[in-house]
Amino acid sequence: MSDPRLIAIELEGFRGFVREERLDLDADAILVRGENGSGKTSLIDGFLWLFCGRLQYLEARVQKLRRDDDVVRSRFAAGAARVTLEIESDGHRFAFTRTGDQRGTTLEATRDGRPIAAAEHALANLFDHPSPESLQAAVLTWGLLRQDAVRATLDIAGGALHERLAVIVGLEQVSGFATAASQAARNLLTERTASRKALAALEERHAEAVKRERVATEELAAGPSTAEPLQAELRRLAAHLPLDCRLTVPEDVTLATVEHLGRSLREVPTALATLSRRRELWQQHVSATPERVDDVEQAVATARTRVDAAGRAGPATVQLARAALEVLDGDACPVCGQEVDEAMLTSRLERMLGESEQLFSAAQEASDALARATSRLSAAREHHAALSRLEVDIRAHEDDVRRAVAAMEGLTYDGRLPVDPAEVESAAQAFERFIEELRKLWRAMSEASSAHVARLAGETAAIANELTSATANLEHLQERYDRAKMLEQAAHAAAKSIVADALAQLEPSFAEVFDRLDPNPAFSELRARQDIMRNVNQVVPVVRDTKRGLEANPLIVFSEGQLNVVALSYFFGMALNAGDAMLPFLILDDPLQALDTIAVLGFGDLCRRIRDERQLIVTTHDRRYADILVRKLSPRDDGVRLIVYDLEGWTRQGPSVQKSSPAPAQIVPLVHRQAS
Amino acid sequence: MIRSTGEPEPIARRAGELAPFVRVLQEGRYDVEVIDLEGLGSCVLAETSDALVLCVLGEWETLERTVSEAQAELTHVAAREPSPRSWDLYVVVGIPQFVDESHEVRRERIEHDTRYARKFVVAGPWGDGGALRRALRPLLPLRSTASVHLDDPLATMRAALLARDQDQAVVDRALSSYRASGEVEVI
Repeated sequence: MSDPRLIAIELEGFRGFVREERLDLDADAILVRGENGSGKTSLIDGFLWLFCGRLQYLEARVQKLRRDDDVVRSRFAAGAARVTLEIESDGHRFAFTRTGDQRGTTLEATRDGRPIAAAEHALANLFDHPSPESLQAAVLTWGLLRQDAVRATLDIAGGALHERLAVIVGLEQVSGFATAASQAARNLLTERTASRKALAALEERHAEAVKRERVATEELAAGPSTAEPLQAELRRLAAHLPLDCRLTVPEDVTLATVEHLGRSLREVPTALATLSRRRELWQQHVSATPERVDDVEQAVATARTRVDAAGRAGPATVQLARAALEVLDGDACPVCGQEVDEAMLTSRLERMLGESEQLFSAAQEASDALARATSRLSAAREHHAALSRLEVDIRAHEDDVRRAVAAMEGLTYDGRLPVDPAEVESAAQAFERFIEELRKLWRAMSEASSAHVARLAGETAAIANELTSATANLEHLQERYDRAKMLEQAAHAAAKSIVADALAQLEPSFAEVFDRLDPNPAFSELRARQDIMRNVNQVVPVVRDTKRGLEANPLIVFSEGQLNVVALSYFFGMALNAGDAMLPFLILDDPLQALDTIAVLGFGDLCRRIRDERQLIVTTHDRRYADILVRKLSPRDDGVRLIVYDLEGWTRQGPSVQKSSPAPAQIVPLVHRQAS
Repeated sequence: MIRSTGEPEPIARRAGELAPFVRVLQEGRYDVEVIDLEGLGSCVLAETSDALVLCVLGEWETLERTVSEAQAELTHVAAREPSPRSWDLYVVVGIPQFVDESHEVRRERIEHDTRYARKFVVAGPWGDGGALRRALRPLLPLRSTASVHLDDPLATMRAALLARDQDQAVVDRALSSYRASGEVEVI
């Protein structure tokens, strides 16, 4: 099976190519020369677009611009862009046509004029690549060297250069495995770190839980305290205390405080109730007292006077009247013997007797009144005595109340008690309610504390279980991480060793180009050194001064032109060693930038050698160097063909393309003729 | 101008010193002939359709003169059959002695003069020809590159890991998971 050969390319409405332009590629070397802006890079992009379906480097440039900035379609052409590449392989003519724009493309294919399916895969298979992606990677890596990618070969990070080289020698799996081992180690490290943090958090939670449980248990055992909620509740309840009592709730209030408060105040409502009853009794006594003792004593004295007067007058008169009457039985006065007017005397005596009886009756009444007054006096005196006793009793009870209130530390009031028994009773009831509320609060808090302790114990146990599990998990993770780390280090060391072996075999390929262009008189050898930085395999370019045994990074010691030589050396070195993935063509966009004449001459010789092995497409903007390449690549033997395209300016119709193809020169041998 | 290789002893000596040039150029698919040029002594004339090469031996003391004379002789030879190959004339001056700093400068100056012919000043010793082959590489075809492609890179990796005392179970699990998913799993 012969290598596929590019036969022709057609471009239309693509980038700088507006009208349809067909370029014959059926040659060993195709040289495209033209000034900047004449369409050289558009042509190279045509190859890139056909093989890859995208112009990623241009898409990256316009990434932040408007979407209508299509990097594929010509602004001067209507319709979609089209690029057709004709390829000959094993006597068959294939045509692959890609149409579309930046947003999407389609690839169609024909074989000897007949359509074939799955064009992308057919294109890949034609170049012996298993997939379109593989072909695209090959084209981008060692098939097509874009103008701006010449130096990028070096400027890319060492890791990327390593990747490229690893792909060439089939080591992508080696370095890929090492990278994956690093990733596995990183993942496990992340997992371990997270696990450690979780464990630390868990340990902290456990310590806190243990502490909470211990404190709660101690509090429960010692008369529990529940701090802030208890304070708040006490303050709320204290707001309803009677008698303007104020309760100062301590910061370290505990259920024991509540209990003590309740016990201390237990006597208060009783005392208040007693006081209330006393005050009520006192009021009853006060309201029941009929007259003052002094008034009653005055009445007794008056009555006694009247009794005395009656006593003195009444009996004497009666005796006299009775005696007189007895005397009257003799019609003369027994004393003086005078005749007595008995009738008159009897009348007078009877009148006097009648008066005496009245007096007697009055005396009797006075005596009775005295007796009553005396009784009233006694009652009044007794009432007042009882009242006095009540008042003493009330004062004692008031003291009891004050004492009872004062017994509670933190409870203050001004000592004033209401006089109204109803108010006192109301205060007693308020204290009763307060104590009842305290009791409820204590019960609730106490029960809550027990449940709390039980819950805390449960939580502690659960966290302890989690902790055990997390510790075991962390230990397992640590072991896995240790193994992963060892595997990672071993994998990178192995990859380094394997790749270093491969690089050693690749070095002649780098030298193949470098020695021909010989850019530096001192650093005359180009190598590639395998390096590992931060566990990433890298390939570092190295140039050697063989006479002095010095090594240096060309990025540091070389000029731009010399660096281009280094870049070309790597690119060609990779291209020449691509093995199964090798492409039968090399496309170079303006590779002569910053090269001096010596290097260009060497490059021309190199192209002549490469042309023998690969179909070569080179563009250059430098007319003088282009002439050198034309001379170098012009055929000297039959069967070798060079096509030269001159892009002579660009119009809105596209580039003006002139084609020429130098005929083979006749070379007459000179060796073995000179002696003659 | 061209003289025959008549004087046996110096020619034999010269031809012996030029033998590595002859061998390397012949390996590079050149037609090669040892000729004797007046003023230059024994020389190697080699050609392909792309290049005409004249190799001469020289001394540092007379390097510039040797180069000038060799260039003149080569253009004269090339002019016998004019062709585009006249753009591809190469003068190679072999100097057996080691080069020092001052020689480097002179060599650079000579090699950067590309008028009439490209020049290569090749300083010895050349040993088994490897150094000479490298010095003449611009004139030689591309070497065939050895394939460094590994048939089963992961098998190579496995052997390398086991050689580094890695646990076989860990390695096999890691490799099998990588083959399956592209990710390494560590047990």
